[in-house]
Amino acid sequence: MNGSYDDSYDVVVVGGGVSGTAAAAACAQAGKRALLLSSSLDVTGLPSYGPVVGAAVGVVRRELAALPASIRGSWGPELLCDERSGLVVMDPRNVSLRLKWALENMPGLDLRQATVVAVEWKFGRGRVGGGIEVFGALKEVFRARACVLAPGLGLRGSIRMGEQELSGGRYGEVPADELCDQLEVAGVALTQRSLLVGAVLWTPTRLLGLAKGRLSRAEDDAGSVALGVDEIGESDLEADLAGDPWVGEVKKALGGDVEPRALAGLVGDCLREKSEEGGASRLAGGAGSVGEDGADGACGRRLSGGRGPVPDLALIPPPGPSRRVAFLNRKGQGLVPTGQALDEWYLAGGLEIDRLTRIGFAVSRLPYVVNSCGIAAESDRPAMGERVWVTGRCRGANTYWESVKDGASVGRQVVALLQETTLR
Amino acid sequence: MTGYDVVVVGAGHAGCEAALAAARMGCRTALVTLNLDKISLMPCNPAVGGVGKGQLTREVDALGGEQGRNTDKAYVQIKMLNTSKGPAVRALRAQTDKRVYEDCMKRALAQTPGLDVVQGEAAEVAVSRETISGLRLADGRQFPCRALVLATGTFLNGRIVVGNWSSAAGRVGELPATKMSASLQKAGLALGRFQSATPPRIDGRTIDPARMAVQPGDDLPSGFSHWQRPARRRQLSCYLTYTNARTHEVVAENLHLSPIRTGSVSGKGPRYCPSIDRKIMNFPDRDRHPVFVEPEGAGTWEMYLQGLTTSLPVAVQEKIIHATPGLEHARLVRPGYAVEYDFLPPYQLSHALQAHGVSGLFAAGQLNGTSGYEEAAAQGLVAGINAALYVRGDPPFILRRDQAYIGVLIDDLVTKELDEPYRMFTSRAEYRLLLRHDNAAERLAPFGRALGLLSAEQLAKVEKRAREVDRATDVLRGALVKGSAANNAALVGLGSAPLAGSQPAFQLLHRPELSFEDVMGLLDDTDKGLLGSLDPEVATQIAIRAQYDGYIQRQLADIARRRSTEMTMIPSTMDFGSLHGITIEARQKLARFRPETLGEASRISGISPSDISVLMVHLHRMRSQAGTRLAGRGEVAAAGVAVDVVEAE
Repeated sequence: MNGSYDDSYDVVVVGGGVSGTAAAAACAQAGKRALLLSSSLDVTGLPSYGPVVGAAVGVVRRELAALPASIRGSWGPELLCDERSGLVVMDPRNVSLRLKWALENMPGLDLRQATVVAVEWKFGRGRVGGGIEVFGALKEVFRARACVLAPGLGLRGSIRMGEQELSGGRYGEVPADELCDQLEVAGVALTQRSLLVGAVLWTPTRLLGLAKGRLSRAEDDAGSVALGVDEIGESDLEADLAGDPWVGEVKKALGGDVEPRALAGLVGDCLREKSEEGGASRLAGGAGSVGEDGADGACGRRLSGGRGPVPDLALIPPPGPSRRVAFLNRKGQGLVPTGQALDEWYLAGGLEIDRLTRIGFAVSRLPYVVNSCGIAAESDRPAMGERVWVTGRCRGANTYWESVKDGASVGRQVVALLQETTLR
Repeated sequence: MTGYDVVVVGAGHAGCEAALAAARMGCRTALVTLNLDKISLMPCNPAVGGVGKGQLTREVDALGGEQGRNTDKAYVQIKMLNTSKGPAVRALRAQTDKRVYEDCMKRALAQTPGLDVVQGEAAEVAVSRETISGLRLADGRQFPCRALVLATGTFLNGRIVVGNWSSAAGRVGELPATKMSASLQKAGLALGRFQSATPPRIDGRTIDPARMAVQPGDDLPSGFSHWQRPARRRQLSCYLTYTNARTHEVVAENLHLSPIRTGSVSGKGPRYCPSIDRKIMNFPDRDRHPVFVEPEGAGTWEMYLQGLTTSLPVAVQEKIIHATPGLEHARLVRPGYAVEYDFLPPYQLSHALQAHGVSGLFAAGQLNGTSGYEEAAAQGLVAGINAALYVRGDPPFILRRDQAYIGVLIDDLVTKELDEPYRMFTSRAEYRLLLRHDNAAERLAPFGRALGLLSAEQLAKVEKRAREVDRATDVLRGALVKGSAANNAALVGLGSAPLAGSQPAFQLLHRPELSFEDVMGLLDDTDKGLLGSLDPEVATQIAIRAQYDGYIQRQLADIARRRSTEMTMIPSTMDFGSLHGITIEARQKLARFRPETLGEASRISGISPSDISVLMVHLHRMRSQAGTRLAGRGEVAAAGVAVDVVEAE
């Protein structure tokens, strides 16, 4: 690239959520120049509907290996599981932080904040001379040979939460209505059944309060704020919890066969791989092989001959506790920790909230329902012409895990298409 | 739904401080925010502090607030500014990792007993008999409460603008709050419209550091917090470049597209943090403007372009960036944009940040027409404290202009008409030699302790240090430096005049050319032993005391002289309309701002000294008629927190 900013890409991915990040990573890993567009880079890759991954432990463990390295390295270390119920959970915030850093560091992949309002495929649909133009709300134009649409539930997304009706695919965020209108009007590559109303998603309640309960209890005992759940050692976590009166209260409130569970990691191979890559984070948090190319040397790296090695996650010692306890029954119902910094819990499986609020939990997020337009796409075929692909929630993926897999798979198919296409 | 003592709306820099303070003071508190994933977000620059602002953060910390501590946890670079200048303008500035900053603040919230965070859109304030009774969310939930703190930032009817495009949003990609403004107006509050803007972000790997000046952090950084030192870590650098004729040409060519020119931004923007468009319009003669390239964090390559704020069309933004030395190949990652929002002109608030017309309603931060995380945190802390005091039925906590920058900030806000977003500067503080970065804890920790926001140990630590400063000062006053050949040679070597006889070391510290260490080198061994090893912060305070003794004494005398006027209370029942002998404008202004003391009245723009004399005479007459003693402000504030007023130095 000679350091010059070349605004023409092999692939533009529209939407920086779970499937979009996977698709972009798959393209970049195969050596394609990819651009990932997101209307808010702050939430790049954020699995925002809760901490449950949505696939069984065995499946996740098996399929993790097949994901692009940066995706595997971002999700892997965050995935914890409860062996007995088979539930796999993660901290959405941490997944998002890891994903953004990993993608920023992928050679050939650029991230950019832009709200896409139109995708046009120029010069017909053939394999020769085709080109895509993606338009941003601020009149930006991005050119590419192919495009992957991953708008999630943003296409005319509307949310119902309590008495409130508001637009958006995610609560509080601006929906992608203009893009939806344009796709509908453009018609060209849309089959009659391409746009379906009906992707509906429901997010469960989230609650606050386990650490707080423990903190206030500790305060009663010792007169000062002492411990949170995080400070309990992992090895004897369950034994510790068994004798804990607060935990007893939570169990009673949840009823039935719900037990406190120490969540086990799935980290193994992902962590090994990371240390082999040699972590060149920008800050020395003390440990690690933070080389000379830390602070100052890092800048201009791209100018002086390509990007450097893929660095490790560069967070200053990861903030917050590593929460490792859930309350679950065998069916995977119960309380699952999410948002570790904020001490939020996710109520999985429709248990009664009242019984929890009575013992000190507070509702932090109400459940809400999202309605949005979907794009019909046959399982592994492009949806609109050869060069525009669709992935993720908007074509029916139901869980994060389906979205990740679908994103990666669509990314690979786009790469394959580009490779057999001779003309640039 | 259970009720709360205090509900805070908005979880930005003001809202978090308000909620933490109220909960720590024992109130059952709810913090309501539109998006729990964006708590304590830094939507603009990745930094805390700077001249004027840094003092605010130190004061927040000295009172038991969170911003200083949080910044120390999340820093990627710390630097003391103006070390070569006078102590009044010395200030700390830290670059932070934005994501880590958010997570640290979330943890602080999560660990505070009695504090709940709630996601939802605040839609309506419930007011009965001119008193707050609760908050209604757009989803239908009701939160009965006794006090409500509004800290909504730029979200009230927020609209973002780039070139001729605009869209309803509080920040880019986020929906605004569209219902609260009407509810506030219904409650009798007037709203205005302000504007702010943020520069584009670029990929840090595409800049050319060789064409810029590297700006590293301090070797052994001291932090904002008085209570713990920041962890040592490898720091990230900032880079300094300047715009040039090419940059200015590009801006000038495209000015007709600027929202400021086209009128697509109607709100008033900050004159002191102007966009590059405005700089080129207002200062056509300047041939360059500085641009600081700052990291947005350790976990991203994104960098912030301080100095290139603009809401010109994106294509123009890219041209401006590429015309600037060192940024020729920079890749734009996020376009800059302007945001326009409803604000609550703060003349409608008391010094406790409580609305005049609605008891129990407090407001803080950008909603009050300020800009900056530090100004927001300072107001949030004061609003949270006063909400808690109000719930308890205690008198409000009010800091005076001679006690803290926070006092200057709030006094300016509630007694002056804002015609642009307010930002703190040292020049706004008439007693800035007293309101220094280094003595924030001595000034304010007693209040923090009395309010219950600091522990006894924390206060003891501050008092111990103050005693140490006194002790060492006494030693240095007694320690004579002899005019020996060796000492005089050393003095001449340092560019200072030799001594004829001997002189107390403290007096030698008056010499600006001598550093504290220089003078220490001249002490004999007995005095060195007497002095012992001094904490660097103690040494700094002694040096400042020695060098600025005269000025400091003068400022203290000035404060004492003014106090009687300053503190004369104006009864809240005062009918300004019936005042004769003052101008109509003065009468209207007084009725509008409703000053509580003569001092406040004197600072209202458009009020002349002769108006004040008339008011003084009138008050005197009222007093002799009523035969009542009018309490001074200092007594009220001190009663509220049960401490004596501390004098700096």
